[in-house]
Amino acid sequence: MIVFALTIYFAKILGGFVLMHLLWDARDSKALLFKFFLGFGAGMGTSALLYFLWFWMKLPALVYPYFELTLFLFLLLMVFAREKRQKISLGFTPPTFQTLLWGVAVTLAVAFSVATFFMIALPTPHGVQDAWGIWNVSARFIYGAGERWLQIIPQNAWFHPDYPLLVSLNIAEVWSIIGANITRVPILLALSFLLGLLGLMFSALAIAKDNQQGALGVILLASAPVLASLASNQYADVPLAYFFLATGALCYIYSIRREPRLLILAGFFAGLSGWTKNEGLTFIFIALAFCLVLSLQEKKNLLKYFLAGLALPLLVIGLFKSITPANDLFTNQTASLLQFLDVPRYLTILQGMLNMFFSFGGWPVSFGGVLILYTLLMFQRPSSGGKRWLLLVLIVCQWVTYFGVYLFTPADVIVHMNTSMERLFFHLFPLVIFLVLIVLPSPREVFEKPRSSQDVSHALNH
Amino acid sequence: MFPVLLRRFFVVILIVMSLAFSAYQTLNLFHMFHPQVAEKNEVSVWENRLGPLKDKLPPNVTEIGYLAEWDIPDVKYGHTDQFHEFNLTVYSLAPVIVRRGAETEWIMGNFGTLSPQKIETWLDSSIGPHITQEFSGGIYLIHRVEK
Repeated sequence: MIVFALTIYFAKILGGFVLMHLLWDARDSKALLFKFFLGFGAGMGTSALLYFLWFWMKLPALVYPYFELTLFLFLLLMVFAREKRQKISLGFTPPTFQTLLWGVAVTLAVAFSVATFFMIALPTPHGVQDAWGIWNVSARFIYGAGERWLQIIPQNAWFHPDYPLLVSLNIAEVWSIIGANITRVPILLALSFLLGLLGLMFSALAIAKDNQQGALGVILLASAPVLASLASNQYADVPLAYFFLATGALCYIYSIRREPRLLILAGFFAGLSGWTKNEGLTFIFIALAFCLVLSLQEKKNLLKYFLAGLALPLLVIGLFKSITPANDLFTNQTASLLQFLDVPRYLTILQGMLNMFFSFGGWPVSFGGVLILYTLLMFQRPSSGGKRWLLLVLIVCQWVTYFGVYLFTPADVIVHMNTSMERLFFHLFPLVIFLVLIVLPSPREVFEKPRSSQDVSHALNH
Repeated sequence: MFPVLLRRFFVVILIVMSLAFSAYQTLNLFHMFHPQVAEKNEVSVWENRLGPLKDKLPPNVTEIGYLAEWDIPDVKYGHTDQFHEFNLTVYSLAPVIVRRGAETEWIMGNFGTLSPQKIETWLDSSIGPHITQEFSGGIYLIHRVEK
């Protein structure tokens, strides 16, 4: 049964990869690898969007998996038809000793992370409280109630029925195919996003910088126990961090490669972040503003590309939000707005965020401290390239919205921070590592032999 | 800017430190890991406890009421525990909707700390005629015979 579930998820990832390749036809090996890892989120995301629309149109739930399979096969055929006459050069070169060393280090880091994942996931097969109380319970309603599930949403039948459904729909669909709501399915989905996130980090940095910087990114991310811990808890925060990284990396890579189709994908992934968790909704608007600034800078209408990618997720989110009860953050808006005038509250939140920054990650020493130290030691003026500062603005703006949530929350702010801040930090964690590593020189640059002045002049002449 | 050799050293140190911390965390967990714990986690335990009740619930029931200590006047209870057990019940019985109160024909009672006599007396006075089936752990399935 578990092999069957694994096959279904792999089919979704393959479908996502094919969709990415159809939308962005770059054929170099790094772009293909990047698209494969984008396929993790694109496949799961497309599936969850269409599955929701399927229910919305009151079509029989049991037929949906066949429709999805047919659709992905159709996309695959389209790719085969298009690629028949194309040459794809994977540019294979025999690995050097240094490449092998990097390979061993990355394999070890990923293996440790996966082992940690299983050692936490197996004793808690239903996930931790927010997982079974929000994501897995909604998956059970979708799976068990079938076509009448949408009518249950407005009835407040479970905790936070207004939370988006990308994770739950992907669990429920596989349960409906295998015919049982076994706990290994959400575990498998969580593992897929953990591996997808690590692969995305590697492939995005490989394009933006080089393979060794990609490997360093994976080692850093995988070595932070918080990744395996949050993934094995079956929270939706790892998928959300994946979509944030995908959006940020696509925007940045656009600023290097200037291929507008990358912004279609960025819009799509930003939209999927809003279909994963409510925090993604603010991210959509921040990414949209990012795109607007790019448009103004380049005096081109880039927004149309971003909006084209965003359209389907936004439609589905809109339909979903039209039937959900109000979020509990907005229970007493007057009191919440008055909290914006409460100066000590600002200090409490700032203090909490600062403490979290230095304790975050799960290392025996401060991960944030090490990252700052490494940045200070390695910093050198980066060569001209993509728009790094815009990426920094993207991160800071999302951080500010989290600050605003703590100001606004009707719950006790200390309790709210204690129960959520680590997860909020995690949302931006991969994107921060990505930003730091595109600014800093890669290990390849640090280890390559310094060129003699003769070599430089020779290179310039040719 | 630091000399090249020193910068190379920083890269190596960062990688070695990352892998060492990762290994340390994994080994720590490995020492504490017992595969049998899976059956003892609170959600599985709660699901097993509600298993007999689920079996007795007629298949056409889509909504069920929920009563617990927090509904009975003058009974001491921990609000966090009560809320937690309610959420566990919502999860365990899904897709049957679990509603607090006794408005539905079928009701689940979760009275782990009270004697059956006390519960029956309270049910008689608060919901009227009913048939009660008792399961282990203070779990009851209550069927209102007249609304």
